[in-house]
Amino acid sequence: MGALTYSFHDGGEAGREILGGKGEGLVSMVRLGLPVPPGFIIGTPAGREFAASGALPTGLLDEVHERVAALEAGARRRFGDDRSPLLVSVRSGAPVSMPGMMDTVLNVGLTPAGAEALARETGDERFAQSSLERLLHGFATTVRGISAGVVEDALLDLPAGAGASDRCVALLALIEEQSGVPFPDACGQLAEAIAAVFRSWDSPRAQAYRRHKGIDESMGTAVVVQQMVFGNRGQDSGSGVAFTRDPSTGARGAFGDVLFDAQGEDVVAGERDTLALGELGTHLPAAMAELERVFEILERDTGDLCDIEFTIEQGRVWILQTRVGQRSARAAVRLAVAFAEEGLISRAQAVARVSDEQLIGARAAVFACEPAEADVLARGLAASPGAAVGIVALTSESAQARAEAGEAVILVRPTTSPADLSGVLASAGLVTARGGRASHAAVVARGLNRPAVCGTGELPVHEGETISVDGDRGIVARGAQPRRPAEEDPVLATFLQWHRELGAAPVAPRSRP
Amino acid sequence: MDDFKLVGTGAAVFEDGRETEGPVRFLDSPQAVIDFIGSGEASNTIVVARGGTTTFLTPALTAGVKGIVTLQGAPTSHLGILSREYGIPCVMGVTFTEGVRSSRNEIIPADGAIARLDVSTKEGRVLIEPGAPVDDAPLPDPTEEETAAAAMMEQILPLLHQFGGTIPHGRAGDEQVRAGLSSGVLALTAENTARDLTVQELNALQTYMAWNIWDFLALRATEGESGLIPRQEYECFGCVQQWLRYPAFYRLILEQVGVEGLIDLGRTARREPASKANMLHIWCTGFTPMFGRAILGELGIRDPAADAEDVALVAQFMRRLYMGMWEKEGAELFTSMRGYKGAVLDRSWIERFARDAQPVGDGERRALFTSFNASTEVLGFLLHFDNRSGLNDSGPYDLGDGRFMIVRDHFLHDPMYHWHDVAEQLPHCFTQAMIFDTGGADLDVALMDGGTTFTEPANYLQYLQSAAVYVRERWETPAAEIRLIDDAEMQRYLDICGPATTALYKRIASMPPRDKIMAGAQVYYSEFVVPFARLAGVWEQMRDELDFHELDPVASEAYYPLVRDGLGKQLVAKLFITGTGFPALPEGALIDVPLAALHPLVLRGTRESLEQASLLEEAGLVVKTSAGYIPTEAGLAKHASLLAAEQGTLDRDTLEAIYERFLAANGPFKALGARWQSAAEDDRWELVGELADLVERVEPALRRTSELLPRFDGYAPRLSAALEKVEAGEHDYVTSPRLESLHTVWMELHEDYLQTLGISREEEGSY
Repeated sequence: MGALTYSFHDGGEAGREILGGKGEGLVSMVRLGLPVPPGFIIGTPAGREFAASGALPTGLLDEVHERVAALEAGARRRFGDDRSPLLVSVRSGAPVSMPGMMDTVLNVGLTPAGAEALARETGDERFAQSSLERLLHGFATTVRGISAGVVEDALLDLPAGAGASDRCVALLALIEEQSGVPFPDACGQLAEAIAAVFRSWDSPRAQAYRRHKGIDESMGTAVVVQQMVFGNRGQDSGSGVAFTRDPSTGARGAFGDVLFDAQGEDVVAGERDTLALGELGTHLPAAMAELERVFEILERDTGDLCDIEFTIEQGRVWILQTRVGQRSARAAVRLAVAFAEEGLISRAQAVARVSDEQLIGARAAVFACEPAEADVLARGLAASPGAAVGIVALTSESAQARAEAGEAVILVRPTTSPADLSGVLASAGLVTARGGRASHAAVVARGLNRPAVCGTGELPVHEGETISVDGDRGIVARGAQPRRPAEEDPVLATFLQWHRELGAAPVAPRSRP
Repeated sequence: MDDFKLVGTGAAVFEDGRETEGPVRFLDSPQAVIDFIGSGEASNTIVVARGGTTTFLTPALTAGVKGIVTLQGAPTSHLGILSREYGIPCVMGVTFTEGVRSSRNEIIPADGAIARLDVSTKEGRVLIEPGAPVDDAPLPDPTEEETAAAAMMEQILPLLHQFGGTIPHGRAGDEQVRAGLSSGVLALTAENTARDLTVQELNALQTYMAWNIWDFLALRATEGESGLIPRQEYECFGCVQQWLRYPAFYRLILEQVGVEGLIDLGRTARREPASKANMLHIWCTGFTPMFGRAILGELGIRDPAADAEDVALVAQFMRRLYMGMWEKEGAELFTSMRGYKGAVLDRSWIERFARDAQPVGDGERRALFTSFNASTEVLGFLLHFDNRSGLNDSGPYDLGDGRFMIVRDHFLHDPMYHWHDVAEQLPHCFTQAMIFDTGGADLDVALMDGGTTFTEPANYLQYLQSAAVYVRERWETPAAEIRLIDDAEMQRYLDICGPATTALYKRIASMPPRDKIMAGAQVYYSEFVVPFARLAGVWEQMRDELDFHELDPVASEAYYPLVRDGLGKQLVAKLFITGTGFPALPEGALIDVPLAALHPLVLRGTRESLEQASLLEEAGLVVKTSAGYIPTEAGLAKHASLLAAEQGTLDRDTLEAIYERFLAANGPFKALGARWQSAAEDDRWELVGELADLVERVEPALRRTSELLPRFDGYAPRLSAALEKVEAGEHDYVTSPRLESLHTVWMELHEDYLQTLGISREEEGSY
């Protein structure tokens, strides 16, 4: 194969400078044996050449077509085919994350005729049309550079009741009208998308950022082309977000959300009520087993908590992204100790892994143990970590009044709206009946460091009673559950011991508002 | 004879020393009534029926049964009134202790057994001959529903006799209610009929109205089922339709004739007998639509606090008509405040009637008059679907010689109802001038606000001394052409009434329930506005341009819970009895503030600073707390009403289409926000571009929304300002709830769309 592109399997030696951050990540995932949707990387040298000459390097497209042919062979689908089309995503991948780089274009390779074929093949007209709409939208804005506002205006001009296929017709017309060139066939789409990634390197926003951060102008960007997989192909398909361990408590065991027959975007946006990852084990045990294999590989490799985005297409698990997972302060300490005790990292690494701020946070009081089952009022999503005990207020007004009277308040609402912000501010904790991690309530609670449990369903409490909110375990319990000073936590004690031994400065407990 | 056995007691509608005796017949369906009349045994029989409504027993009444016993109901109900007019002994609300079983396991006397009615005191007694069949089988256990109904009855019984458990009926009650009200709104003055009423005045008026309607009609809550016409169902549905549509009609009338003209319409009740612009109809212009407001509130379909302007309009519409009717500065509004007297008609009419009246004597002429009075009354009820609006009394008029007069209108033919074809041979109205002479006996005459006379003792007709009957051919016949008719003409009309009644009864009996509801609701909905619209000269315009006969969509929505699911019956009884039919308006409900003054505050819950803060604070719409300004309950209600008003003028289809495009960007925005919070700082930079695209993408939707609703024009600049900060590296401006972050502004925008369109988060599934 030529010198400008790398498959995920053969890019090993090229390194981040050539493959870009995303490309390198994918190559190492494949090297670890993770099930990554196949694809290839166009290295940064091609990008540099584009920047210099304003044109794609000679021979690049031939190489790209060979790479695509390899994908076709594996998928038993044809790129640009009108019967069983192969679709890919195209994204930018500079060695350093920066703003202004081109967004991902999804479903490249689809055409109106291809969409009809997809509808026949899947028996799902809506899926096919919305796939085409997504491509056209991305193509119009990110590839052809038509402003998102102009595109939106065209869509708003459609008569009421217009559906995805009407929007596709409008977008096709708009693309031709605005750029003077009709929407291309599959190969044309791919070539234009690649060029657009390279062009975005010189977008004003990216240039400004590089100037500001002193990033080498000659670094250039890579392009990642990857086969599309779909989580919305029926009940044996799905998407999810998962952590190798609980990112709130650090407890062992996989943790996450899954939605069947859905795309990853649906999970992340919280537009639908997600299911706990455990449901996957019941519903598609083979897929769950595969995920567990992936978790083990990842933890062995990183010696740390990881999170992944995954899609299951008709029973087959695909890993889209992995990274070291964000965690609560308390989890940071527990994870550091756990990984050290498991021998994956040294004690010195463990101590270094917890920031002073996290250590302060970890010393906040927690509930001593899981409450007795009789005391559990509801279980929901651990939306924001921490332990709070207070008096139930059912409205934001009463939360404010109680807080002013000096009471510790737990605000309990069906959902929250912006008007509830003052109530949340006045409260020590928050419980909502509906909504997931991306819900307004969850975002606000995390932003304000208030323990929160979301999606509990209707909570059987009345104004004025005392309850406990365990934002680590996702439990709402009756009465004031016993809290334990963090110092009594043996894990924290172990960590502090190591911390002292290794000579770090003592860290004072944090006082919570 | 003395071994007749007492088997039940109830309330005697009127007292009469004579006992009535005859075979018993239980009637439990319209067909049974029709068959019974055909049997020719009616005049000899005592009929037993379930409910206390008039129309079910109509043919039995016209055929002249010997006595009436009902299992449910009270003497003030329509059937009670009619049996009094017919002079048929009637005992209501009887629970039999012995007898056979009806198909529903009620204990009733066996058909054919000889019963005796004793109505010599108010406690009417039913006795049965020895040897009458008895079914001793134990009664089945009451069903859960029956137990619940009985328990509820137990609870409400005290409330039937004491309003709110404390205030009695009658003059004493009037005094007590008024003592608790500081407002002068119950007296009509040139000043307070010319201007708008305040919230305090409206609430005082409503408090009195709740007692007034309870005083008049609470006992009707016990009248039970009708058997022919589902009256409570159509009434509540009609009230709802009134509340939704009448305000527009009232505005049209007011626009046409002005305040003075409206007061002059009220004078019709003085100037003319035989007009539906009378005391009953004036009372209903306010009471029934406002009752509809409470019903919609109970159903959770419409917030009663949201329609304050309409409450003010409707209340003042009614008061202005009253002002014309009483024609006196400082006049008290209702007859309940005037010692239950309603001598409305100009004296010249009374003088003319007194001159024309001829003695009824004790023979044929009395019989003719009694029969004419009762027959036209019962047909009036039936033609108006068991509604009281076919009847209106005024008086008593003191004739200065110890005698007094009651003037009674019976409304028959009205071209607005298609089923009035059976009454084409009959005039629009008969006016009966009835002169009474008690010869010194005590007779307390009370004229209720609903244009109905109640007397104590009840059998006032025995004191009827002389009478005159007049005809108004059509509603538009000039009052000057109202003419006296003689006995021969009365007899001729009487002969038409009988067959017309039978024909209409049979027709109604054959109507499907929904048709009956719709016809009844049409009466209810038409009666209390059309007479005034006709006089104002806007009836055709109202009918043709305002689509008078169309159902309001909200009324359609209310139909199923109210009528099909039977909620209406329970609600009406509850609202009557508990006095909750007139929910108070929140303070500040009528302050003239624009939506824009309250909306930003309601969206966010609190604000540090607020435009027009002192005005809003003074009006009780907002209060200042340590957290900043917050809306009061009144403020929230005011906001809801302003928002509802805006919704009424909104191009909803257009806005919904725009909102759909907002939602298309909302999912990606929320996903991005969640990714942002879980991304490492270094990885966040590439999300900034996506945020910028989303802000750009939502701009056209915002621009178009602002074209419809200028108050949306702040969002685009606020999003841009937040984005600028983010792009400058202030990453807190993505999700921080404490800042004007992208998330803060976006969520407020989403909430604004939801409120503006009246969509709940649960409904949309976005949290």
